Amino acid sequence: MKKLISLLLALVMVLSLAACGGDSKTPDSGSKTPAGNDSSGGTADSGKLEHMDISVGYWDVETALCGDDIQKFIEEKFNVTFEPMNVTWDDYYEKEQTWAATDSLPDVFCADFRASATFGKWAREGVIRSIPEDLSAYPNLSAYLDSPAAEGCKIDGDLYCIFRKTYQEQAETVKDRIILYRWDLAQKAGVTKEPETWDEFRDMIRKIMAADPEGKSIGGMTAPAMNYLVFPFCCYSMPGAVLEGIVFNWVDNGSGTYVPAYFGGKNLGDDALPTFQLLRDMYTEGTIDPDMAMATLAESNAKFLGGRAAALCTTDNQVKQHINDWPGTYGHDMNEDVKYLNLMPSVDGNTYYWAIDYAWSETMFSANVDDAKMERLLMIYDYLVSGEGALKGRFGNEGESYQIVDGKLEFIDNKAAVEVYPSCELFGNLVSWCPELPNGYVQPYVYPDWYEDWKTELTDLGRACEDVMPTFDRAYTQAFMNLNSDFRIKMGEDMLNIMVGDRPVEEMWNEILDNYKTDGLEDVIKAVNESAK
Amino acid sequence: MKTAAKKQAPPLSLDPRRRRAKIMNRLKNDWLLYLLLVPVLAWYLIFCYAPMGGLVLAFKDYSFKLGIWDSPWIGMGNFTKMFSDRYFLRGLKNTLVFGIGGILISMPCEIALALMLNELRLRGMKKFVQTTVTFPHFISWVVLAGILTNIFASTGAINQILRLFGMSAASPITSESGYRWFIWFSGIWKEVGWGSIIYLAAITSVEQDQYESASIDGASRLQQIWHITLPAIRSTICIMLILAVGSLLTNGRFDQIFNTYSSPVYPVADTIDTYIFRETFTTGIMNFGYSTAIGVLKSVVGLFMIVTTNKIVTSAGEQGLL
Repeated sequence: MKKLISLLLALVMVLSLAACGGDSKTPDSGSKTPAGNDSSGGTADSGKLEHMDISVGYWDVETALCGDDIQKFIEEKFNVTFEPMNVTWDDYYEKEQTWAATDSLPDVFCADFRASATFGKWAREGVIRSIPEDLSAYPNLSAYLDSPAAEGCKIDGDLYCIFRKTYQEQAETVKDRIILYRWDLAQKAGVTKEPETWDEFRDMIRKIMAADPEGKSIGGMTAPAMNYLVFPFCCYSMPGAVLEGIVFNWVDNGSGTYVPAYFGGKNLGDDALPTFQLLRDMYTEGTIDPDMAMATLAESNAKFLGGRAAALCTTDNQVKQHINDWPGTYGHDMNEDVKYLNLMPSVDGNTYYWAIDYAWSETMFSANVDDAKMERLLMIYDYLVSGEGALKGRFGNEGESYQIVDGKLEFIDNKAAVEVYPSCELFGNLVSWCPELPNGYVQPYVYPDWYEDWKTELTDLGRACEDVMPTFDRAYTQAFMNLNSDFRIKMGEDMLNIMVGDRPVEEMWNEILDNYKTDGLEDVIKAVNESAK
Repeated sequence: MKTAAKKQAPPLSLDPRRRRAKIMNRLKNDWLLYLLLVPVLAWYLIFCYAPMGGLVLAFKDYSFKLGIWDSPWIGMGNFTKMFSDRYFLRGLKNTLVFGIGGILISMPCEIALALMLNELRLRGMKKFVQTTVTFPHFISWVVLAGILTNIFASTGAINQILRLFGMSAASPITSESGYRWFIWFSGIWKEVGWGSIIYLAAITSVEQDQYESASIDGASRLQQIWHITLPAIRSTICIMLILAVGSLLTNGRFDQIFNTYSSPVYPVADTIDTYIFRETFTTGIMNFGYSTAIGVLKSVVGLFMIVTTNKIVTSAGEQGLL
């Protein structure tokens, strides 16, 4: 009996080991979509095209590629089968880099690497392939790429990715950060005027905290992470320095030498001091959350919704979340209690907004994609960015998920297209977050009118700043990227360190500057100026 | 005479045929036991020995395009770079500080807890205390980090108590002076129960006669602990010390630190592992050759430390590990 048990135990162990090692396919790479593998059927286009499998790395693509009619239509039209390689918002950064290291990248994938050293490294080392220079066969894509944003997609003059436009125009990037504040509590605390300067904002928050009208020990402004505060605070004294990583703006320091805008000023880094001082002052007095260093998305949302933070610096997407959650907690719409903060004037008296790259992410193509597959991918991209493709990919089928009423595009039963066709999540956003729609159609929305008004007002605020916004010579940014240097700017980290620090701001900033110099700041400035000139 | 000579010959001098037959005989008789060994050996081969081939990366400038084998050799370039990389040196220092501090603080706590648990006479109470102190070991650092962050937040329990006594709020999680103590003590809180198990097991093997004799001779409980229990478990303490010193550079605090640190405490919190992870996956700057070289260095230093500590322990008359 003992022997039998031992035999069984040994077999189980051996078999379990074999089972673990036997399946070399990852769950992501193995699964095929249930639909669309019919190379004979389909449109007239597909008849001429050889069938291909295309692997796609995209957020929650396994859910999106569920074999619905939109997926079938596109697969048949281009005679392809899409294979999902799933990533999530939590793991895409690590997962895609691991794929790259093991030569198993999907044919096409999305990420936000082009402001990091990874992008240059991948392009130069042949991990991703370049996009053909001649895109005349793809007029819609070619028109889409005819944008200043394309410059940031180039390495050594070649295009290595396709930017995914988040906004239609630069001024809309102002919506990338929205500061919400509790106007109802401010009024209860005796504030009668909406804040128009940082001083007034601080004063209002102080009053709310002192009065604590709801008795919840309300604190100052919070945010999901320090990086959220970078944009609005940069505009206080260094509006050009909003970009960090390796893709940042360069400015003339007054003597004809270009330096990264973050280090702008008479002496290197002088411009940054007022911003750091403002952050330190607000942190010290509590008008910025004392727990900012350990802030998380969930915690900051909970604090604001729960009445434990007087203000929240967040994004458009998160505001939408609050719009949904607010009535459940307070019994009425959020706009009855909350206002958004206007753009604040800077130290020089002008008002600036955060003119960030208005395509925060991009599509890249694996170096294993051959010319024939690249051609097919470009055809699909060209279609998805066309008027017809944008409608189909983003809104599904007319009469099923959307309709045109009096020349206006509307969702049927106010249901977003992804609820009817989950694959619209992929095809509607793969090339661009906001493709241009035909016939002047406007993206329908499912949020209250007042929020659409807020967004329009915010864009108008951005537009109003255009005359004073600094302009930049992209040649210097490009020259730096071509250096293939390890040097990079860590603005969020620096801001947080100085803000929570207990030594004088200037002393801490000088120490950080010294570290940048040790990392080669001065050599980089010299090399970029020589190269760009 | 002939037979006697045969008898005296050591087994290894058996002729190869007989030796092979003997081995086959053993395999045949105990094949079940050998079969049980297969998964363990396979595990070591697959996960410990096969990847060692990748160590060549430490001497190469890794290129995605060329892969591990075709990337160019750069000799000791990655190692030279390591010692001029101030962030690596900072990580090395912090790793050692966390490791040495951990040994100095955790080990005495684990031993003390084991001794105290051994002194508990009520069986139920002993089990309850042991379960309570061992339980945190099974909670992931991801979960614990969230709980601890909330406890030490400006409006968290600790700061509310501090304010109650008129003291100003403070958080060790974001303070350079408090962070290391936070790591050590939260580590003790989580692992002291688990760590004490091995000492408790060693204590239970001490012969009870010795305590009885000491008791008859009038030794107090404290004297019994000092003169009987501690010397009896000295060899276990030495082995645990050797193992702990050997893993100084890989002290397993990655999850704990990664989930609780932030840039203001990097100067005292950034270890080799967190530095490699951040540079590889967040900024994308680190070359895989360089990170492999750091891994090699960690292993070599770990081996050196194990051997050295083992030598010290054995020369002090204790039983070593090697």
